[in-house]
Amino acid sequence: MPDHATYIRGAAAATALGGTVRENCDALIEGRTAFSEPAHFDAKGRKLGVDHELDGGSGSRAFRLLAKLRDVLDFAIPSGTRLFVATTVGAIDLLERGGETDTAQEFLKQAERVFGLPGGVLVSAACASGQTAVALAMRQIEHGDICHALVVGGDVASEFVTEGFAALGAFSKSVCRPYDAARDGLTLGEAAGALLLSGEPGGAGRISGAAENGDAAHITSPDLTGAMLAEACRAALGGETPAGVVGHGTGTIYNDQAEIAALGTLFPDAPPPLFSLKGNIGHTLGATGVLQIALGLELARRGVMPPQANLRTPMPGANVAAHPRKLSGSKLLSLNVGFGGLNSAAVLEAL
Amino acid sequence: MKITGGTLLTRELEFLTLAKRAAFGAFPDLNIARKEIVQLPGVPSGDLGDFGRGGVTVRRAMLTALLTAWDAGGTIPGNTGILGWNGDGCTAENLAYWRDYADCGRTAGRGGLFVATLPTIPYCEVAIALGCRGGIAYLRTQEDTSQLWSLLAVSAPGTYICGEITRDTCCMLFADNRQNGGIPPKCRTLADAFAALGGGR
Repeated sequence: MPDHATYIRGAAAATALGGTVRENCDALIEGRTAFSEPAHFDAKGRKLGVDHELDGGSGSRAFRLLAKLRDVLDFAIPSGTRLFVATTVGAIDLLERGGETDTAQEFLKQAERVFGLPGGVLVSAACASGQTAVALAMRQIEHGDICHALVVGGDVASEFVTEGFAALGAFSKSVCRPYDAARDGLTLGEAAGALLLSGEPGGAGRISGAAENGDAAHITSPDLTGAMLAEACRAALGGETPAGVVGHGTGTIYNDQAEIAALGTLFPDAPPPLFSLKGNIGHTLGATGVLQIALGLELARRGVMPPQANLRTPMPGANVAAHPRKLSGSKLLSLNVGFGGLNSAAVLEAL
Repeated sequence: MKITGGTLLTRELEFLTLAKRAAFGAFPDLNIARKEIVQLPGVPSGDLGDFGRGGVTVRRAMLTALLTAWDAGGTIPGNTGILGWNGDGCTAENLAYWRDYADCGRTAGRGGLFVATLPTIPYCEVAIALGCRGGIAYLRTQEDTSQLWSLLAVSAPGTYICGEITRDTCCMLFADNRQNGGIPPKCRTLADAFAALGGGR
């Protein structure tokens, strides 16, 4: 059990399922999904987890996403809070419209303006960006460098990323089915999430451990043995057994295989209940790690593991179900995996 | 924190190291640089199987990392982490992928170009080449290395390669946040810190 903890004093989520943590968790427990064709670019018939409230307007869609997140915050940001921004491509729509700019840096600058927190830190670790940012913020809090951190994760649905994943053959032909025996790829989504972390006790929960490492194996594929991911989980858990796992669960053959291998190594007899929110809202890239903790905390507080959306037949070794399940404890393990063999594990606990 | 080695690759393709104060090059191109660097006594062999596949940024990062490992003693721990910081990010790679897609009539993207559109990719290729299994992230902060040092100081105890890649240069320092060596110099760039630590000519 780690000696220190970082408290979660606030959480926010702006996704295609809703603008509050409560709305999102209600939808997850009901098994609702939010996939549709985007109106802001030609996705060539593919459906994505698009937030149509972001449609229209003349400025950057990514900037509108940040503004929406600010509008749904239901907690105050203490003075002296440090901003951490997790994203993969940031305001990529600026580049799509001809701008020759560092789109991640533009996203960071806009987040600094929107939340009134200059001097922020951009954290980019592919699809593990969200949890990596949370871990960095947690360590600075526990080291006493800062008292509070606002961790924002976000990415928009874009032609840039959609065509890139399509080129890699990573897209599902229909819709992503995380941890399903017949899964055939991912579905992209767009969202933003925020966590107010603090060293001062209080709030709805805490993060009791986090660890990251790398496979050093392949630039796009995870190590299918899940060995290093299991190692990250072990380090984050510190000997504890979680009541459930909020997995990365993209629905690609390799990602889910690596995760189940890691969880099988860790819990050979009885793997905890598992769930991925990508079956509901798609892969939201830089947002996913932040959302997994924000929504995971509320699910742990309610004591419910949602049904796995789009599940037909669980893949071997995956403790997933098509119906909600009661959690036996208040602690959840959350996983992120990213291009380059990046692994991230975080442990959250409802208080 | 102690900096035990480092390498600066200049725009003239000259490699300058920090601890051993060695200079290699200037090389006419990166392929010739690779051939000569891997033959140097004590340079880790590394897995450079992806050298030809990666773009110029990846190749520069791989060779700079090899010499950084050599400068820091030759063998680096398997749990070494990598923190990329500031520099030029991946704007050039993003533009290259998007222009190719647009020039081809927006029918299909090119996977090989898309993979390069993450700022962590050069550092992940370094991790594969050197077998580093610590955490990897790219961070952007204000132009002040003290922000990098403070984030490094609170990272998991161990050794790290800190990198800064620009359009023309690549600088990497090998740091051990468990050793007491004081706080490295406060500079605008990592290349400036390399010089302030005594690296360069």
